[in-house]
Amino acid sequence: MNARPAIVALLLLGCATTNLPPATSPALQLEDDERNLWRQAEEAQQRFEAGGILYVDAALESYLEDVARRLVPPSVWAAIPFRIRVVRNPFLNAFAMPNGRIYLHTGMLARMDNEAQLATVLAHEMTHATHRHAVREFRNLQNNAAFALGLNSILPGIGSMAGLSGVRGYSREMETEADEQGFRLVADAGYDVHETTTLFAHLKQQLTEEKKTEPFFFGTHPALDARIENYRKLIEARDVARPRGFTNAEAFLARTRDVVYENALLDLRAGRFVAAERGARKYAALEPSAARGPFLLGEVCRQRAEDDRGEAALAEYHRATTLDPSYPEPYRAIGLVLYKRGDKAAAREAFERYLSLAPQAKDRAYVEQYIGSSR
Amino acid sequence: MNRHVPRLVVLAGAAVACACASAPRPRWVPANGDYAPDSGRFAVRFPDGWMLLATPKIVMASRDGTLLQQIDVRTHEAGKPLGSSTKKVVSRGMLPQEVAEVVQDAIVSSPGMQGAAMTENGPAEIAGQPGFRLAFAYKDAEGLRIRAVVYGLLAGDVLYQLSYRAPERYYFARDVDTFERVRASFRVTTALAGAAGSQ
Repeated sequence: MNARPAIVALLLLGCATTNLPPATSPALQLEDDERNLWRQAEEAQQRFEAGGILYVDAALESYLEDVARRLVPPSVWAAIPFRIRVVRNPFLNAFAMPNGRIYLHTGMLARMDNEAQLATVLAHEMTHATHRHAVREFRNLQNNAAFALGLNSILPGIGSMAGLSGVRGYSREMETEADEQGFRLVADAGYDVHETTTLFAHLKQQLTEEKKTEPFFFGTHPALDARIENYRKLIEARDVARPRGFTNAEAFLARTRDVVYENALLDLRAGRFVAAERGARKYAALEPSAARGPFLLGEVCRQRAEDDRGEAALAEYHRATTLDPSYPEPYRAIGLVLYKRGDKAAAREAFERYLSLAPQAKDRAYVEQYIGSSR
Repeated sequence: MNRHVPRLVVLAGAAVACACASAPRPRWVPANGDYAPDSGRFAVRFPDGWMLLATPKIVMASRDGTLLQQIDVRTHEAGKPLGSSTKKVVSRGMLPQEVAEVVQDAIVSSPGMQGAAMTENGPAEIAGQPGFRLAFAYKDAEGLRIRAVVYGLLAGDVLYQLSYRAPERYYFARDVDTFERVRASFRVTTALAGAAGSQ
């Protein structure tokens, strides 16, 4: 018996095309499986967003969508109604749903220096949606399943999905496509394309500091170094006589400075002290008159606990009280440092000042205990 | 030489089998009055009618299944991170409020818990020593609203945590008093002597 015709028929039946045109016009017709993916994406994003993890700031979302609109013509926006949401998460990550919903982690936004870097990430993620990567990946998996089934009938155990994926590397191709097409969008919108590699350098620095792999598209296939090199080549191929383009750094930093603060808090909670300190310093530089900048720096010093006497933390707390004598938090923190040092009288004074400024403080019960034991 | 190989293989297999036999898989068993782990670090009394599951890191109890209510007691060594999502550690000499801050941050840094809302963080007495009480609420992966309470005590180099969690609707209120009785029964037995090892 010759099994070849049956295997060929099986493979033909199982294969759906992955060669789909990009979604660039309102006339986009979703295919059946693609429509299913969009519906699943909507269900997933509803559950995801109901978990209370979004960083909600309507003005920031509006700004992010303005930047995204600048990257594609209105016809593309009509085909895929992009929406950008910010997720309270200090890890460097961004991802897109097939229906155009894009999620940016606060960790990613806080690490950026300007709008050109933001545009780089948005353009990359938007390309995943416009180039229909989700359904193409889905069909790749389906086709592999059919192929694996056929192969298994000849060589049992060889045609595993994992093995095929390792050989084919679809994700790598699509990430590269998203990099290249995204780069074109950034350049065509007039942004400074040199900023694309600056962002990668920031990301690489943080990976080194944390001694770990971030769950981030830049950290997956292709490898970070290879992607930096790809971007360099794209810049060289385009550049030479062209003007550098714009970065809109001032507008970007004004819009995102609260994100920088919130993300530094998240880093501090996760015990990522290097990242927390960098974020706190960035915020303090962006908002030099705000007391919460030096207060956060003081918290990083205190919680890192490298200085038994807490001198560095105290210095930052005192800077905060100088900037805003009515801001209660630094007084509690001063009280804690002094209390642990055994300077009970000075600690009591700071705690009393704290409670006078924040009579409804959630930690009032703790503070009253400290005051009581300092008498 | 080669003729010895099969015998060695048999002996190695027997050794593996013995090792497996000496580390039985934890099983749910009926709570039967006072409970003390092998480490002897603490003692606690779980209610009759509940079931217990003890592992080297945690002892948990439930009456209707852990999806409906769970009480657990666990210990952490000072100087070691409280979970994979945080690098923060507790250390000897921390005030209860500082320990509570580390525990709270470990909770809200955990996957799926970023949306947790802390409703209480205050001092509490545990086993006659100053500790803390945290209360918080969150939605689980299915969107079910869960309420939880955590008591904590740093004694020597060991952090003791007693936790209760249950769906906000019906179950939390039904068993929270039971949890408080478990907490009242909790006794530290060796931590002040600086015992090492788990649980």
